[in-house]
Amino acid sequence: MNIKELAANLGLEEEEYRELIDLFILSGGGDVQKIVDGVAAGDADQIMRAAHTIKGAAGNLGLVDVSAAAKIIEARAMHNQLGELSEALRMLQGLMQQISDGTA
Amino acid sequence: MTEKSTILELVKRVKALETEQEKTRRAQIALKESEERFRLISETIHFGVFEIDDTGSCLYTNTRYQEIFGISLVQSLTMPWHALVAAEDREAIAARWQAAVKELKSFSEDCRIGDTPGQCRWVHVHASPVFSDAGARYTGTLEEITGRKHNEEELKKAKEAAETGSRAKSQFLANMSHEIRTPMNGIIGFTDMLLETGLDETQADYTQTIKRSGEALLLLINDILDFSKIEAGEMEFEAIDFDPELLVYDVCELVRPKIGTKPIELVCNIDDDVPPLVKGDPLRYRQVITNLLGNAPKFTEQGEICVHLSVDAQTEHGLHLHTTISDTGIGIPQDKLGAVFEAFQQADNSTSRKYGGTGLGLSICKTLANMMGGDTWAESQVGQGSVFHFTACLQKTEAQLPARVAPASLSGKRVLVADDHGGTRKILERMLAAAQMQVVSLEGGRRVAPTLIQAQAQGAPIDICLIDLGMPDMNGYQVAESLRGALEQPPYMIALSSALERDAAKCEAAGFDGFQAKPVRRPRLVQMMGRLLGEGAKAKQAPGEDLRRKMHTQYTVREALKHSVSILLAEDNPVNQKLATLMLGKAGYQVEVAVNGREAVEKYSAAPEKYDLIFMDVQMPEMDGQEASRKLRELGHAQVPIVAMTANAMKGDREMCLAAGMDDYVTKPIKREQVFEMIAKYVLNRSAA
Repeated sequence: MNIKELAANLGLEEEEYRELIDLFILSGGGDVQKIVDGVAAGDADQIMRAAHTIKGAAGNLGLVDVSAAAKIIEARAMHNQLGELSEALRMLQGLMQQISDGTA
Repeated sequence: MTEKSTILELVKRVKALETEQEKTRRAQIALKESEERFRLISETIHFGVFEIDDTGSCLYTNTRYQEIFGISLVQSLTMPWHALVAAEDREAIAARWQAAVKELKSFSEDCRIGDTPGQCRWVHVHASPVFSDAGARYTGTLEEITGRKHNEEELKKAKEAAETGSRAKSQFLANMSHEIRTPMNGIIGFTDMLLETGLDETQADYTQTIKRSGEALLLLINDILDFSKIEAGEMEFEAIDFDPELLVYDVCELVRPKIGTKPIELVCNIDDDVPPLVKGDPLRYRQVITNLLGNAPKFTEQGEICVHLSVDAQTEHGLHLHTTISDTGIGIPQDKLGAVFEAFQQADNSTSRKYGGTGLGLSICKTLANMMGGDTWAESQVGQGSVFHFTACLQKTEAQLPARVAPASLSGKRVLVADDHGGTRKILERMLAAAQMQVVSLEGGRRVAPTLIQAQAQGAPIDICLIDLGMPDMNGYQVAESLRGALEQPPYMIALSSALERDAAKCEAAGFDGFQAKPVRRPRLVQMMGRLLGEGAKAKQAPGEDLRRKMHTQYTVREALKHSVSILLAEDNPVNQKLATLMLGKAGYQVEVAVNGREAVEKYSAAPEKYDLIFMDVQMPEMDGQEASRKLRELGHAQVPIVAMTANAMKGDREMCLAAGMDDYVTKPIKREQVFEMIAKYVLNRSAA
């Protein structure tokens, strides 16, 4: 992840962008948990809302992969295909982990 | 005698009897022949034939009838025809048959017969009552129509498949529109930002090329999508209020950079009877004008491009607006005039190589104009130029803009106009006269100073001058120079220029008080003059003295406005909140955040004068963007522009936003350019206009 470039894309300083990423990890972590809980409870609506939030925030930050993974989950939940979103969810969790570790 | 007479009598009787027998025999032959003929016809025709008496029993069936049903003669006479209808329809058809018989009506229907699954056959049954002394009998025919039904079925299936295909195509295109536009906007937007990062000349040049190519590609994609939408019958029109004058000025501003440094005067002439508001689809209306006006600079090297907006006809509820766009360009040969409006056509093949374009633009314009109840057409003379006409039928609106009253400070003031271009002078004269000003108009710059001096000497000094910078005999700077020290009380001076705003500093140094880009926008000019002459209590200081007022330009007005613009952002996601706050803050705007719709309504209602614009996320907990917007409008906050931020650019979403009282929308992911465009559109331009 090229913070400098992503920040510049948004017309922001690197520091400002890092702050945004921290905020995203913080709020996005909660949303990922909501997806996990939603899958366990079979609550498609909750999954959809949480995935939508992640999709939007990640998209705004230029985190294309994260946004794409969230988009898949949102679409699956919308069509009530809860059984088919585990792969995208794993991908999303992995990406979030990488970002939070700073290894992305 | 008696015997003789008896014999004679007998012979007579025998004779009579013979005659009678002969008659009967002939009648019998005739009947037999007739029967034979009927039988022959009945047995050879392709139809099944049947006869039913008034008690409902079948009296006669022909062989074809028995063949169609696959039964014997005896069977055919002992069971009614409707007993042979396919089981699932039998009851319903029998009921309809009985009903017809009861009312002595004709019966005509397609029926399925046969009970073998998958081997359904169809017959058409037609029967009419025949009235006689014996009561009403029914005679009918039976036609096998399985083949025809089968074809109909096939046709229906094919039609459905085609429709499904077409729907799928439209849907695909609609999806593609979003999928293609999003990355394109990314390319263009980021190229813009790249340009601001201090590139060297070569890099900037390359980046400009990327941007131009991106924009060209986006235009092309939009054209193709529009064309597909029209083809698919999916083009929809809105009916909302808009200001046609403002729209035309906006398009002029958009097109002006395309003229570049060519010696072309862009003239914008709005007739006085054009209403300040009409109802229609401003986007589509604008699209046609943008397209027609955008073409003109491509084909014109010098002279003028003139937009004229007039009213052709009015009815109680509607009016025909007529726009003409005339240029002094290369023109179009007579035999190609019609073809330019056809899809994929340009006046000649070399045109597309030299001037570019898809060849779809004008075809789309024509279709759009037709859909708005108008038309487009062109007149031209090779080498002289072209005139493109666009008419559209728009509705009158109940909503009324506050009438544009010119500031009282202008009334009775003397204004001098110096411009070499007759068209521009005429338009300015009319605008100024409408503001109750006394106008002196000069062709060129040479006579400005003498005229001013003379006016002052006669005790009727000119209060304000509008001076074109690009006059051939004596340009605006030279005019300003010639005025230096020539007058005790110099008038205010506003520079008019077709060039872009970088001239502002030079204007200020030359002693101008204001700057207006051409074509001059009436509201902006009136506002600027009002401000200058309003402060007129303090007489203008002669140039050279140190007291320099700030130059009034659209640019400075805009920058000053920017810092006083305050935006309310309704967004629940902390990441997006922070990003938008940073983005807007860096650009010099004030931002206040509301975390959901309810808070947005509360914050705005508490201090409506504080905010100039609301950005509203559509999906929020507690109260979503649509509900919040509806609430704000209900509370009477009709003026504040509300721009939706939506993840979905599909038309449904957009219409929902507009229906909820929002003014516009931007799509996520949020792009700086889009956001700033909205602010410019709804706050900066609105205040400056």
